[in-house]
Amino acid sequence: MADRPGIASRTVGVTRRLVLGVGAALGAVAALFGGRSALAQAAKAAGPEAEPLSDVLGRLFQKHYQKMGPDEVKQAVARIERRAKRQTGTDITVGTEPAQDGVVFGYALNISKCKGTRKCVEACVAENNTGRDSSLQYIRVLELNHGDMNLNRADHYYEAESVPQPGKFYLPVQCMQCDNPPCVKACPVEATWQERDGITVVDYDWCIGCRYCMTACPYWARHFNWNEPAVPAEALNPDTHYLGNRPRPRGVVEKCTFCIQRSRKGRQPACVEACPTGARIFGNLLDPDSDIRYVLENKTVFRLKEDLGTEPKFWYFTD
Amino acid sequence: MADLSRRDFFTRGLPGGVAALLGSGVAAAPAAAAAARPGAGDVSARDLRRSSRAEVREALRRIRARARAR
Repeated sequence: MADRPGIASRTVGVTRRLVLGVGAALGAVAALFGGRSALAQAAKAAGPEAEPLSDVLGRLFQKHYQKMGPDEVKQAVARIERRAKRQTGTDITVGTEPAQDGVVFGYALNISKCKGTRKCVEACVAENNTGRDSSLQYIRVLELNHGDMNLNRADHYYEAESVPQPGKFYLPVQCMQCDNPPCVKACPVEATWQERDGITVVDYDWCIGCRYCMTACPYWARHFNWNEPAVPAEALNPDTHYLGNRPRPRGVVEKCTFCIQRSRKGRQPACVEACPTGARIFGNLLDPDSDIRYVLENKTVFRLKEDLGTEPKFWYFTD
Repeated sequence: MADLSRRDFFTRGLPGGVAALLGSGVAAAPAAAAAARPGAGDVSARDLRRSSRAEVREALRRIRARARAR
């Protein structure tokens, strides 16, 4: 076959694919070395307050949380704490308390008592170091008309001067910590998973921000942060957990973790403590003497969209 | 015209959806649709469904089993 003008013949030793392949490899090597030297120069130029090169590289090559050994976890935690100190001037602690055996957390919410004050939302934002300049909130309180249970007609932007409004009732919705979580299955990089105590968590350093999990969640419980959470230093909650309210970058998906930094230390989530009407009950589903088990065994309980097979561990109940 | 969302239309099934579109004047069709699929016409039955004692026990049993497996 005659060669066409401008197109290399297959008989020629160097093909276009080979050139592109070699070029890409050389480019990658150059970028790696060039990038490192650029980082080193930038760190040197920025002075002592800048992030050390070892931290930058450590962050860059950090493994998935589940794959890290104890030493690597310690280093990652120390890096996060140093970075927070540099950025906010505040000393924070990043806990890594693991799930306890014999514990699966569950939640129940009394719809008869909820008045729609949104104190739970305020407490959640304060506890979880959610960005104050964003409208990102893990709890969504829906306002519905009496007798209407169509969530498509619910209003969660209600701004009543006083609550409860006549003829309305309120249905707070947050992560249901599904026992069969569709969000976990949707994640293409396994950045989210379910812990042994039933809490679905996110490794913020592993999340690529694709938002597939948000699409998969039928409860609107996952939220994409468009900005790095901006929290005033005086309002920063220094008691954090690696899988919870620790400082995280922008462009990742956040969610309720039943306040993992509190619940794994035997405390109640912030929303439970803040509720002025005592509508929220939280506890260990495996403990037959817990409050949550009492509610489940003695009250009229409901689950949201359970026909989807998500097995939510969040029940609503009425008096 | 009945107040009907797109989701309602599709989840009520064809007879229920058409009947709801036509309005309450066609009384027989919604009744037939409801009879064909229990709870289909009732949105609350789908979104926030009451769990019986047996269902709660069964849910807790499944949660315990999954917890043991993890």
